[in-house]
Amino acid sequence: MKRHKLVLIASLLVIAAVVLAGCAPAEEEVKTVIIGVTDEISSLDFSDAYSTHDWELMRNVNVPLTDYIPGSAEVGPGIAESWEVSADGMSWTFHLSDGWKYPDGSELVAADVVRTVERALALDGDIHGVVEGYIAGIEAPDDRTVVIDLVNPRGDFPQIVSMAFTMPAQEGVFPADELVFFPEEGIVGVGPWQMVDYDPAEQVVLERNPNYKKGFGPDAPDRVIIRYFEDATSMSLAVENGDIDIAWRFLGIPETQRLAGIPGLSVITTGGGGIRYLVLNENREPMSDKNVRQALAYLLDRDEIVDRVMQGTVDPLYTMVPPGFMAAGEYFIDRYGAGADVSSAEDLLRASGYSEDNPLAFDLWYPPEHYGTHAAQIFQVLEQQFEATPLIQVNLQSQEWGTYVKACTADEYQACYLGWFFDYPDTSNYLDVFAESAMSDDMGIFYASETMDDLLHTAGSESDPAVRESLYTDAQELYAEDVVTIPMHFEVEKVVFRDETVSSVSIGPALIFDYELIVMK
Amino acid sequence: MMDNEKEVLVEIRDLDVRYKTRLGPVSAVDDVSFDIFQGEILGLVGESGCGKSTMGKALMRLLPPATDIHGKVIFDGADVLTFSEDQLRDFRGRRISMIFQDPMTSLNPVQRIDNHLVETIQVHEPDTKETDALSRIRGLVERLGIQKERIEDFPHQLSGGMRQRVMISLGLVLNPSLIIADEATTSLDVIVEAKFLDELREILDEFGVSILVITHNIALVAELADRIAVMYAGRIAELGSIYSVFDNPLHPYTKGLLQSVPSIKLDEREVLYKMPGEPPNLTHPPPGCRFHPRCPEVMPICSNHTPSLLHVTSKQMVNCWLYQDHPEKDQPTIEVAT
Amino acid sequence: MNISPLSGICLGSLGIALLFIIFAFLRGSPGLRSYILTRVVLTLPMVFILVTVIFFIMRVIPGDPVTSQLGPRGTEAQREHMREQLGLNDPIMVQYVKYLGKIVRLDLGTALVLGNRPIVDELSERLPATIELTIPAMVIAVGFGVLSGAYAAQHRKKGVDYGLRLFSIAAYSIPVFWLGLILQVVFGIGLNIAPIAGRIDPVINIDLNRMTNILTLDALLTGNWRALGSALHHLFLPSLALATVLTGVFLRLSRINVIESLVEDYITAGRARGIRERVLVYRHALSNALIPIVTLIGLQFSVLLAGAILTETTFSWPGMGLYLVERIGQRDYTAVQGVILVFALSVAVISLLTDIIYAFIDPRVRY
Ligand SMILES: Nc1ncnc2c1ncn2[C@@H]1O[C@H](COP(=O)(O)OP(=O)(O)O)[C@@H](O)[C@H]1O
Ligand SMILES: [Mg+2]
Repeated sequence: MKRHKLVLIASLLVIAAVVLAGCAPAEEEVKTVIIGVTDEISSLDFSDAYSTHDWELMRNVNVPLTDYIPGSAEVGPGIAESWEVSADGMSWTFHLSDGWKYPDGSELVAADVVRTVERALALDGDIHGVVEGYIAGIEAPDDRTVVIDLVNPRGDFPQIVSMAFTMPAQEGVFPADELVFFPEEGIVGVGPWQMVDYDPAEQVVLERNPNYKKGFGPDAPDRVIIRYFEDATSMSLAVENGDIDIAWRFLGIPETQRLAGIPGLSVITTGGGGIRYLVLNENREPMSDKNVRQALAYLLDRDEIVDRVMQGTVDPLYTMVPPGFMAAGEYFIDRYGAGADVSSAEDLLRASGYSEDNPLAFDLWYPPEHYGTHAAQIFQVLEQQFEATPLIQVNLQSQEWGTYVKACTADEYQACYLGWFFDYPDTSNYLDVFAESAMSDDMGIFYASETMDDLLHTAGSESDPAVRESLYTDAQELYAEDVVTIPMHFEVEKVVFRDETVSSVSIGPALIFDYELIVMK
Repeated sequence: MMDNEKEVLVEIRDLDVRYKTRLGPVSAVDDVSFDIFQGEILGLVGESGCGKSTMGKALMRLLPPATDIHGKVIFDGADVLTFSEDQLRDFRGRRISMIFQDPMTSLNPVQRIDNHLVETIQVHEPDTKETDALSRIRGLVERLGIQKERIEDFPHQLSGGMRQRVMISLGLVLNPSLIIADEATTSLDVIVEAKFLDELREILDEFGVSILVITHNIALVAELADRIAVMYAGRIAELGSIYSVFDNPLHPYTKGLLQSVPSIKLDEREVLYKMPGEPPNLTHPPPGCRFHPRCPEVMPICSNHTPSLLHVTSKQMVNCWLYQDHPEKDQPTIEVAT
Repeated sequence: MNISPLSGICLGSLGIALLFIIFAFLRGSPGLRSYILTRVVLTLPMVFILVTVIFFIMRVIPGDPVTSQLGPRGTEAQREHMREQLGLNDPIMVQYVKYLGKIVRLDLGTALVLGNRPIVDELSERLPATIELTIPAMVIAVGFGVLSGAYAAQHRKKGVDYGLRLFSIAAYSIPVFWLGLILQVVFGIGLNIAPIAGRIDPVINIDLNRMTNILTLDALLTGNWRALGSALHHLFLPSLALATVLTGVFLRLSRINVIESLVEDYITAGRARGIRERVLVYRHALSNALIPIVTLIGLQFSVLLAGAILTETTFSWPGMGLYLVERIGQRDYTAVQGVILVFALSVAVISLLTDIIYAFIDPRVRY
């Protein structure tokens, strides 16, 4: 009997010790903030990375030639303080500012930038195609100057070089002839943070770069840990329970709404660059008929979808360029009105020979889960909206994402639904991909218009902002007129943090999360 | 009297055992009283289903928990039926042990033989070290003719006879005063059985223990036992020394049993007596004497009144109206000469 | 030869298995020896068939690794290049022979996504996490299931017995992700005594020197008690969830087997020798009942792996299961093939082991 009691007591003690060990607050003077994400690391090579989360980590460790002005989608100085373009627009010179240092104390030199860009040009990384499309060559005439020669003139080149492929890398960190997706020691740069430890499946640990040029605020964290979650549910429970301090992308609508009701948690809406649109395949009947596309644009009522299905968690979008970017506007309202206009749509359809007896019939495809479980509801509402006229017969179809995304961009569907997130923060990145005749084919749209190509090419190579703005205005008017695609809505992102440990976070409209701007309690 | 020369080991008084079943209570032992003497071999015989095993188990209180048991089982002055769980555990194995019918299934198949023995010792003497226990069993095991090497075997590696020896060694290992052998030889073949019986008797003499031999084989009792108790339908029909009962069986049931035993003399080829009828269903035993429906000498009183087990001579008791008086009885009571 | 951690673990566990088999072989009777020999020899063609079936299934299922990786934007030249790289242009039998050759060298190819690392490297990061989760879960499930089954048998037809039987049915039919979520909400949020997800506290993790990547083991080896506490603390909910789902089967089997054993003659015989009821139930009856349970452990191993996939997903536990789910989503055919291969092989090895253990512990088995 006695022995059994002893065993029982001993095991209770062990359990208690374990629970206590886990619960006892670690004695830490290091101010640590833990950020949860459901994203994942794809590559940590500056010359390869082409994904939002990789870029977020890189932007916190390193600084590109030009950089976002905190809290805005505008691009300002990065490691370059100024730049100028040659008269023919084919060569850009960037002047690096002083005082950028790596954590080991060594100074940034222009050759560090050249190294990354040359690797991006030479190696077959994910960003290779983008870089190759713009840059012909790069050199560093001296330690403070970088000169880049272009393939074609680009007026938005300062925006383009805000991408991670212009971040400096010290000699010997990356081999010249090979991409390294997961460098053994993590990545280093001249940014506010240095990566001290990481495990792509679990976490990334960042500590301050003691030599960071701009310094840290008094309540900035000393250490940032990014923790990877498999799904939004466990991440939301973890922020609720205090395992993490901040829950970042992607929380999802139901989880955000749930967390919003819990005391001690703050839910902040941040900017969003993600847009959703309908692809109308102009390579196939019936979308090749402009009347049909315009009729659909007349029939669509975005507010109904935003309010009824998305409960206001997204905003309606009336051009492909989201608010905040140059020349953004409400071009589709100007052309087709805000709500549904059934009679205008019917006129167009009748003009194209459709009638009650011979209605316009087409398949409309969507993925059942990839864009959240409410996708099905969006499409039911959309079907009702289009079928508000007896001249249209919509056939809803859905297909699992892997197959769907291929078919949608490869001329297999008549109409489908996709999302887009910018690569670099410029209006051009929201128009060229869809409307420029070569790129449009790759997106499964098959739009081709010489006028449009002219407008986009000229705007791209123009460096005077005022001229660019007016060119992009014209392009978007034409875009709405031709209904290249139908913009539907754009998404804002939510971030949730615990009031107990975090006072505020700063995430700009371009979704740039600067960890050093987190204010801790 | 001869009975008084021996010391009584177990006094069983008015023992009733009633199993609870879905069809109602089964009166497997009914109003049974007898003694077991020190150092004797008592044979308990009867057709199968008449309550012999129940009787044996009742002595050790090995019956299912829901069973009704009444009466007294006085062992060395203490009533077993009033023992607590702890007293019972101590009592079982150490004071009284049981050898079961089927040596194939009565040993734990995944336990080595020596382990069975050591465990039995340690259960009762927790302070005994394993090595001491092992040395204690060595002599016993040898005496029983089990080779030393075999005691590390698993039960299935031994022959039936060998396993029964193991069962006996398990019964003897703690020097109990009474061993109950329930059909202990039924599963052995005749030659092994004979050898086994010889040994059993020798051993018992050496150890001075009493044995209750439960069997349906009356010949075996004749060969082995000092006294015999004949059981029928939950009651003792007749009880007495081997000589008196076999020479002069009194109860019609005993007579029938003895007549139905084949004689060894082959040339006589007598036609064996076959007792008519079947033992009763004990859920609804017949009223009065439970044997009366099958009794060749049945009297009117037998179905109305229950006789008792009474001495007719100093060495013989019988439970039959033929030998007992009753006001309602017409026939004369038979007197048995001593 | 360069030994990666995965091959280390594989070789290590195969080594342990081998040691056991050799031990059983040496200790066993001639009958057992020939049984072991036949069983081992039979496993080889079984493994071969498994490997082959996986190869062909991966090629028959719809979807094409090239398109899934390049997407529709890939040019024909890029596709051709990738097909060439992946060896998809070879005749199928040539591919098959190459694949076999690679497996023999423990080369499972490289991932099609996320940095194209060798699958063996990726799995060697993930496998320890799965081991760390599944072994305690199995131990808890077997331990609790078997003991409470015996307890139910001992108290047959009483309240506890009905309660435990109800529990076993419930535990068996609850989906593990749902149970996991409930545990997260109850212990993580409600009582707030357990972490929701992950393997260890992120801050403590920084100081943990990882050698085997089985965190509790690493913490023990390096004497890092805080890390040990945190790792166990994080292990609590996932292993509980996974164990609960498995417990039901063991509870039921143990109960029924103990009940059957309890009416055996040797139990009555033991009782007649004065052996305690508790000893009779938990030693004598249970040790006989354990024999079929050992077989069940082998059979339940695949259920355990399936459960681990869902548990790991629910608790963001970066093991093989989570890896499999991620890579299925990313259409990483090589990775999926690698995981399935490792799962299938471990099931084969475990079933070999349980068969031998069964023969070894049951003295009555006739080979
Ligand atoms: N556990 C039990 N539950 C109910 N009835 C039983 C039980 N054991 C024996 N009986 C019944 O009690 C009677 C006597 O059985 P038993 O003592 O085994 O007889 P014997 O040993 O003389 O063959 C039989 O009718 C039998 O059916
Ligand atoms: Mg019997």
